[in-house]
Amino acid sequence: MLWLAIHLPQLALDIFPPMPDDGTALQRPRIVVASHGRGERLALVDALAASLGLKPDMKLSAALALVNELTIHRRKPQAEASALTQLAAWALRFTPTVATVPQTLLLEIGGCLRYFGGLDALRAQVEQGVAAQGYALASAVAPTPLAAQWLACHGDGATVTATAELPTALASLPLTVLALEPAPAQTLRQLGIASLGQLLALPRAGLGRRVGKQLPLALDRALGHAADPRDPFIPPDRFERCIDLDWPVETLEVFVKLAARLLEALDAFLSGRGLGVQTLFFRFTHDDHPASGLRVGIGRPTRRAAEWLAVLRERIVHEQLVAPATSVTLVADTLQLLDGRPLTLFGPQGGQGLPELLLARLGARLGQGAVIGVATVPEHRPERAWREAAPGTAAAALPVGPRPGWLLPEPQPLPWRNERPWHGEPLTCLGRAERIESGWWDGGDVARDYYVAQGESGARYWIFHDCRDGGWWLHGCFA
Amino acid sequence: MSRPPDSPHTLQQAIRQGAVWRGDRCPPITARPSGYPALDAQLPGGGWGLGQINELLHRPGQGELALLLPALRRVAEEGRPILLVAPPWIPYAPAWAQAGIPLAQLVWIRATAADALWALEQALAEPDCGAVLGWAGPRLDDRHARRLQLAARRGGGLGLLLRHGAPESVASPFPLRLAVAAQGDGWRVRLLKRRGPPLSEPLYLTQPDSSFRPRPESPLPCHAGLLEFDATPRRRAA
Repeated sequence: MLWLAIHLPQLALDIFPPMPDDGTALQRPRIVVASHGRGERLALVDALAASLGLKPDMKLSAALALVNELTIHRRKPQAEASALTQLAAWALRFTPTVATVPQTLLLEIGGCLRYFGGLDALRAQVEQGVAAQGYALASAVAPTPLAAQWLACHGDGATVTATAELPTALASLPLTVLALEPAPAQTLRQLGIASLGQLLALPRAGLGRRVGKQLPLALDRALGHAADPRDPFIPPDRFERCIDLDWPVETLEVFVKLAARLLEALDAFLSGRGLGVQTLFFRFTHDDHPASGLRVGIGRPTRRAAEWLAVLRERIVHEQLVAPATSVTLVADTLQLLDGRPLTLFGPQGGQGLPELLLARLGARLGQGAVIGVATVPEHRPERAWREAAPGTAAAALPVGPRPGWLLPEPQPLPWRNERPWHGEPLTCLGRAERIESGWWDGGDVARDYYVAQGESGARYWIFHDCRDGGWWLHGCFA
Repeated sequence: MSRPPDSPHTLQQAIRQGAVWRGDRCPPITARPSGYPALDAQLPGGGWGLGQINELLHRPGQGELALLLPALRRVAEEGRPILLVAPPWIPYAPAWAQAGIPLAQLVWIRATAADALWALEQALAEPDCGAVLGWAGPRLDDRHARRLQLAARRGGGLGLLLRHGAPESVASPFPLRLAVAAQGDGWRVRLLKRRGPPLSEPLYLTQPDSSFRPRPESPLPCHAGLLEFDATPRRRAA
């Protein structure tokens, strides 16, 4: 067993999208505050705030006294948990065994080192992936999950591969990595213990009597002396992610940028499990308006953010936000298995089958009914012998006489001039008539004699003589 | 003015390698045979050019589609889609199936005039579209036309633009321009513009098959599975 721990020290801050950098506004220090008794205290500060003297656990009023231009976020434990869940789902692409503890992901990587080309390559890939999603991280590798978690929390990127090296590696860590309750921490401080090495040197039985049974057990687990079973992470069956905005989104162009971030997260969430989605729903909340939504569909399940974004861009061309949005949520609740499908949209060779993405883009902009296929229907009445169908629907040819390539939506009456039907020019019927008499049972009774007619210009038309009322009608055009 | 001694030799070489295109012959371009040998002989590359717009001036109903059918059939046989962007009427499924085009490959895009140009550009730029047929009226903005031509070059597929009522005298940026009119059982095709020497005589083409002509002698069977309640369609003399 070998565990890779990914510690996210800035998680509380990273879940908030950074201010759009438009170059004009000065970047302001960002802090996260949490309620603490009656007042509010700083939970986390960014690098800029730290350089100005702000520290975690400082009172908000004290911080404002030091720096008056601050971007203040309220801490959102729920959003932190969902971000961690989403990262864990993403991490499933590396290993089937992923566990989460607050602020830390634990990946069991002993079994997949070979596949990813060794420990260093795998670790670099995981770190790059987490960083690309916008999280600051510290990682560590150790044979036990707890040791890996502590080493990552300390943040010097240690790599320990043998259980025998653990006591030495852990010895220098400060006690803060243990995240102890205030009472045991106080006890240990009074005993003059500041590092894990000192703690490990103490007899376990006496330590258990003084600070509770949990600590000696944790030490044994960290050193690999006691079993440390972990519940593997099971990803949820739907994806929902929200971006809360401190500045309302007014235009859909800005929304597309946020959507790109959400779609990247969706891609990460789905790719660990070989899933795709076919419809997405964006929900907007507004300050003074009920929530609104935007549904986007694509012809075939996919998870690629770039493809979704291309369809989304066309979808929003004719849309407008009803009011400035204060939060954007992406919901995907029907996840579909992509396994066994070719991963390229256009088939293995390329150029085969329908260009799904193009059709999805066209459909998104022109409306769903605008991109269609046609199919034949075994029926004698010409206007009912075809139907609209989904693109790609196969249909057999009908055993019928000549049919025109273009059919008029409605038959058009033809005037009768000089003993001949007239359509801009006199028409001459070629060949014999095709009698179509059908439909008495469903109210669409027709009795028509169809002719191929040619004008003097050489144009060929499909016209019929209605046997019921004796009129002449144009019904199609042989293009 | 001094000239390098080997320059004529280099020019000869350049001509042989095809780096210099001489106006009295057609340049080698990739093309898809039209299915009419007489037409292919005159078209640059031996067929409808790929990665460009082929412009056909026509009057609807004069068999312009039948002229394109052999090439479209081949596109469909390769399993590539055929996109009809804003055709003037309903593409009648029985007729297209009769003409040998698998309906699964046929995509009909309905759009208003403004959206049709956008859709046409998107479709032309897509490398996986086998053939894209667009319809444009007499007025086509030069800027739009150039955009279409550039999109077709990006996509590299077969781009066909059918224009009704466009005057022959107005120039267009498309490299191939044909005027098609019905003539007897076939067509009279005039090449208004091509990459290569101009062709003054019109071409007379005849239909290789009779798929669109009336076939009164062909039987009209009433298949058992088709419609059991209906009488066999009767025919009578015109």
